[in-house]
Amino acid sequence: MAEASSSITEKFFLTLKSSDGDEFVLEESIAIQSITIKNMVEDGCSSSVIPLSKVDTETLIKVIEYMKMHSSTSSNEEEIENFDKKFVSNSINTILNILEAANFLDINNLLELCAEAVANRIKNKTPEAVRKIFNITSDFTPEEEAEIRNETPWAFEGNLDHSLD
Amino acid sequence: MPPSKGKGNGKKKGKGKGSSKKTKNTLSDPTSSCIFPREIISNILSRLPVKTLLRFRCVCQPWQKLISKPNFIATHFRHSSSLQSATCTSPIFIHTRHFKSFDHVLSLFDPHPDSSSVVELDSPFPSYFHDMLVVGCCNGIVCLSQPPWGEMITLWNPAMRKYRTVKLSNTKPLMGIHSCVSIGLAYDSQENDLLILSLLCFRPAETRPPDEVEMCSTKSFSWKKMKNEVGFRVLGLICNVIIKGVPYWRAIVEDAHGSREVLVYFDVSKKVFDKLPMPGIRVETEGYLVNLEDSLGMLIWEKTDKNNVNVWVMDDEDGWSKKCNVGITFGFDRILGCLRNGDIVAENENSVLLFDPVTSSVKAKFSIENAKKGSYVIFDYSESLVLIGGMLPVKKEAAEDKLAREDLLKAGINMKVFTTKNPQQAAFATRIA
Repeated sequence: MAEASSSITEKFFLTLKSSDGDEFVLEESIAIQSITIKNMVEDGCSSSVIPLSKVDTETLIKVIEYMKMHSSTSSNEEEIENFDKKFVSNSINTILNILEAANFLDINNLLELCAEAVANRIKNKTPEAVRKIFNITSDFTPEEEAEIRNETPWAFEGNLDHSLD
Repeated sequence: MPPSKGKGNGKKKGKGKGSSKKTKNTLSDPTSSCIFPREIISNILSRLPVKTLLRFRCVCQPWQKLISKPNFIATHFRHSSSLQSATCTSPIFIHTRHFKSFDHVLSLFDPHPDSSSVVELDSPFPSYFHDMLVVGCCNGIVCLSQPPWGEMITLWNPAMRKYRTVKLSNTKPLMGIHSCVSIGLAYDSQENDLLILSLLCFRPAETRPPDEVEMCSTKSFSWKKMKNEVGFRVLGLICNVIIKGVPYWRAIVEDAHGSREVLVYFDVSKKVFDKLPMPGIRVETEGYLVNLEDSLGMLIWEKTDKNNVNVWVMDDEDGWSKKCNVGITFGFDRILGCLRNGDIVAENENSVLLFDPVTSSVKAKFSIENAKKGSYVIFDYSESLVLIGGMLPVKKEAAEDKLAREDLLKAGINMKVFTTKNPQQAAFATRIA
């Protein structure tokens, strides 16, 4: 999939522009792991700069890092596994930003990796911590919340994690 | 240039984003200000354990609603039962009996490499029934039955700690005519309906009719008579294995060629029984039907050989074929079966071992405290948020009974404790009397 005919004849490059205005030049064969970018290329706008208004510079750097590792023919399975492990050890906020970018850019592997990582990080957390992480204001009255807690009190027992990362 | 086509396409995606922003205002409650698109939230939450989701129901109303949606529940089960996340195998549901009191103990073993643990579950099955069989697990629902007549059938979601008893059929077995009732569990994914199958078996006689079949839908809880066109007689009190919602039994059929052993299964979409051949099992060998990566498999071993197991698989086109021979170097006392991922589970001197047939190594090992040796029965289990209409929380009574019994045991008295202070239990007791 990544080894488009380009690698044999000549390499094509794309320019991606982050929401902060920074431009990144990337090989087309790497960039088209993003279905969103692939569609743009197929629609014939590959010669121009592709504006990614939803993705900031910091996140775009991470996404490009990921795409490079996952397209390179030289990286073996073990290398990729180690890279992914390190990749998801970023702060939960960073992963959530990457997750949003992966959703927008339509990079399925990255989406799966980040969703799984976030799930792993929040599974022992308290509802309060989760609200803060996802920037959610509770819309339950205290009585309603107490009622839900009372339905399954055992789900709130044990050593829960209050931290925000 | 980019505004023309590039943006046209970008717009398509952009629109998706934009609309998800709009959905936030329309579909979800405006007072909740989650900044993430719903599809991302749904994707993350569908990967969480049931216990965590029950806790997160109080995060906000949109989350509470999402967690109870049928689509979400289905996606969640797909993740929890996925064979892809094979790095950590799914939990094992274990039925054992206490070595002294002979009480039924139901536990879960989570073979997570970092933190494997055994947790004893609060069983919803009335403790005053001496006999109980685990029929199987389907969609995160465990079915428990009282042998040999199936006078008590309980459906239970251990992860949600909810259960309900199944109303029995009006067709009652007749002593002297029938020998037992065999229970099976099936799942109709089209109708999203869990089905209970009840096979009424006749006693051996000069002419012995095939089993009488009835099916109960858990949507209506009404029993319906089914045809037994295959003319089979099953051999066990419960189905031998359930694969992708289809239960299989070892059975006997009689036709022009005489009587022979076959496999019968319930074709869930057509609602009929059909038969399959059995792999040849000699007298000196033992066979155990298993679910191997969601295909029908069978473990076959020589009764005298405690180091080798042959794995057979059923292929729709080629029939049965031997897949491999697994050499278990440490030896085993008893084969308990295998997990969906292919790990063989064997009981030995003092524990239960999970054996990886590919690397020929022991992956994990566990034991249930005070379990009677040889009483282990294991089931591949994946947790779910699935509930059946009329399910109630599992009460702690069973656990209290157990404590009381333990006290008596300590005092040197071995007896069953009957609690009849609960009207529901009293009703059961009178029903069985």
